[in-house]
Amino acid sequence: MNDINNEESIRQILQATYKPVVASSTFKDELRKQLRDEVAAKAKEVAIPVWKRLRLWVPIAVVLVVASIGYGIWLPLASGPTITPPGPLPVTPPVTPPPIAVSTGTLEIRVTDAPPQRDVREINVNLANIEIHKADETGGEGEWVPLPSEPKLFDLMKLRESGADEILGEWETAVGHYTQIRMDVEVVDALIDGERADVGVVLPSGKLKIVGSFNIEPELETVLVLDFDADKSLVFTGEGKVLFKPVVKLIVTYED
Amino acid sequence: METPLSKHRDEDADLTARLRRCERDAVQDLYLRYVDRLYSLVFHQVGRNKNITEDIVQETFLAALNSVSRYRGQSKPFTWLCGIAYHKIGDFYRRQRRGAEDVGLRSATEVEKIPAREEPIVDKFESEETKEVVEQVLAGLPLHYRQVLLFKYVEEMPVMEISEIMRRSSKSVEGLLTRARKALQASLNDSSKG
Repeated sequence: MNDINNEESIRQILQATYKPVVASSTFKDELRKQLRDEVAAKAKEVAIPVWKRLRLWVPIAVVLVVASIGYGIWLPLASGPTITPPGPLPVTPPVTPPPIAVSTGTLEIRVTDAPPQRDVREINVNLANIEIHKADETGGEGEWVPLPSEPKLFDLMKLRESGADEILGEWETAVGHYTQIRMDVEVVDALIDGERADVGVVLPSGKLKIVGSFNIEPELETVLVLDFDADKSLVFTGEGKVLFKPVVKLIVTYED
Repeated sequence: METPLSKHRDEDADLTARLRRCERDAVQDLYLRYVDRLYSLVFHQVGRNKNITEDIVQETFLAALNSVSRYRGQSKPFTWLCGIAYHKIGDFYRRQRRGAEDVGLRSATEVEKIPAREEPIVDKFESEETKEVVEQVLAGLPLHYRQVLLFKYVEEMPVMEISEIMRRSSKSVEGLLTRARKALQASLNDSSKG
């Protein structure tokens, strides 16, 4: 007789239940085609020289055409009516109008998704000196509990792209009710439009403070996810400066 | 002499090298090599729902293609792929929770409250008739329990690889495995009682 406490038995049960399944051939064909197209599109994107990139030049051409038409309408109005000096009227031969040819051309109107204002590839953020605020059960002020750790560097764009959570750290902490987290935030740099840019951090109290309620309980793992919104956090000023004003959402889950 | 295992390792090493060189068409080879294995793994994690599985597998390969420049070759190609899929599944369940529609999830605490029974029960699950019961028991386990059990006992991955996928420390994965085994045992015992 087998025993469920035995790892081999667990393996047998799971392998008997979780039999391998295969995807339908339709799905696999579609996905393979999609991947092949994506690879080809990306290769094409890299291979096309700047002067051949339609997505770049078509909008510029449209702007130029619109500007020239606008200028053509505006110029005669701005210069006023033309006065010709009086004189004998010229005798002109009768003009036969040319036959009207009905010809057509092709008009194609396309709609495209405009690229983002700036091409941000990296936002490297250093997080350090993390503290959590433990509420006082008797109604007092509570206390800030430091979570000892080395400063850690994150690329927010990489996290967004991979959809992954990066672990900041794991700590054994006193059981209780907590109400805030705070930490030092230092943006090391960002890669914007292909160039490294210095980014200033804007934090009113010099620290990033996130208000959010969570508990730490025995035999339970409290997982806090600091969900940075990279798009909203980066601010481009009119003076050409780049500022980092962190927009963070706190997601609390409990695992046991 | 070349064995199937050594051939597999060589192919994996070649794939790793090509991914590290950011060769995007290496993702196509990754697809050819692992699509079925990944599909099966995702299928069992999302409650055997074909549509959800297809969405997640598709998103995983497209994400792999877009983030190939970030692959450092520190993990095996399939482990890397599983890591992406793992987060896509997490995202899916988070969206489900936000929509107040929980797909076969229940709290682990609830599972562990089920009293354990001493008598051996594995023999009971060897017939087709009771396989369905086992499936239900597994579907009732918390997602991360099911995932860690799948990685360890079905995919036979070492703890180090599981920790890369789940982005947890090895110690944390071992703890999770212990709790998952305990919950599985308790649930199986309970179902055999009923």
